[in-house]
Amino acid sequence: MKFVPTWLSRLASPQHFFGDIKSWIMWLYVLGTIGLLVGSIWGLAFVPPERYQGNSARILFVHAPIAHLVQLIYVSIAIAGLVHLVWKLKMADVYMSAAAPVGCWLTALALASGMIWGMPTWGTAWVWDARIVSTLILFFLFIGLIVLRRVIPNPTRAATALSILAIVGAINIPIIKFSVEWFETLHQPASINLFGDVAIARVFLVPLFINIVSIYVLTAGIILANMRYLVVEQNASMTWIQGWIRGRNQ
Amino acid sequence: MMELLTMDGHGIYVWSAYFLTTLVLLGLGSYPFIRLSRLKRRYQEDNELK
Repeated sequence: MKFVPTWLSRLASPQHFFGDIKSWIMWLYVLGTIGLLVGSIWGLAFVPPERYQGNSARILFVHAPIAHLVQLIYVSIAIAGLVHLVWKLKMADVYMSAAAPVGCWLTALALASGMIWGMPTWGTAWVWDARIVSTLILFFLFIGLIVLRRVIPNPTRAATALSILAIVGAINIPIIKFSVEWFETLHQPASINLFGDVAIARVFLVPLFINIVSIYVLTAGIILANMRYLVVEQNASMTWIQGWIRGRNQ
Repeated sequence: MMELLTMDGHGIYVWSAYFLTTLVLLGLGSYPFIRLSRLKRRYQEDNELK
């Protein structure tokens, strides 16, 4: 019985990944960018001011998708870490190295946009709130993954260390998710619940949904582009890379 | 148009959040391609030296 489709198993090979993924990256970039433009222009110009927060609520359309996405990036790195530890799959290690800097920058962006939003709504850019602190810890976890990769010269040991940190650090994800329920926080609880009521008006929901999907699509493209770079860097001596260097393909 | 820019005093917060997001996404999106083209050029130069 085949659990993994052929096209996916092909991508586990660096050579096939390098050849197959280029057009995917282009499409993910194009669709993600168009979606973000549509969702953001919609949110900025065509959505009425929110009843309590006024126009500052428009920050929601960039802050919430990114703040949600970074948690998913971390979970995906932890899964890649597990795959690497169990099956020693090379591309899982490549994924961890490619996704960690993206997650780090986007977490910094989520914190920064949250601070900007806090100024008009909370009257302060920073509070030692459970949701914000656990997101700050996530930022440090991403930095830890990047630093580990750089300070351990042996690539196999570095990948193992990265995998362990990623898996152990995943404990922070439910803390981020449920911090607004477990603790008394200034940060508002989630407005969208997959298994419950949606506490957000449809007029806000549509551009928000467009931006959530689009940022996922664009980030997938960015991580794949990073992976493609790492594949080239790690396989420079291979004939298929040499062909590319001489301009014979891709 | 002015209303869209000022947003009743919230414009500075809203636009700076969107500006920062654009900046980070542009940087993250272009960096792998810049790095890859630099790497390719370096390998090509190394091959010419051999």
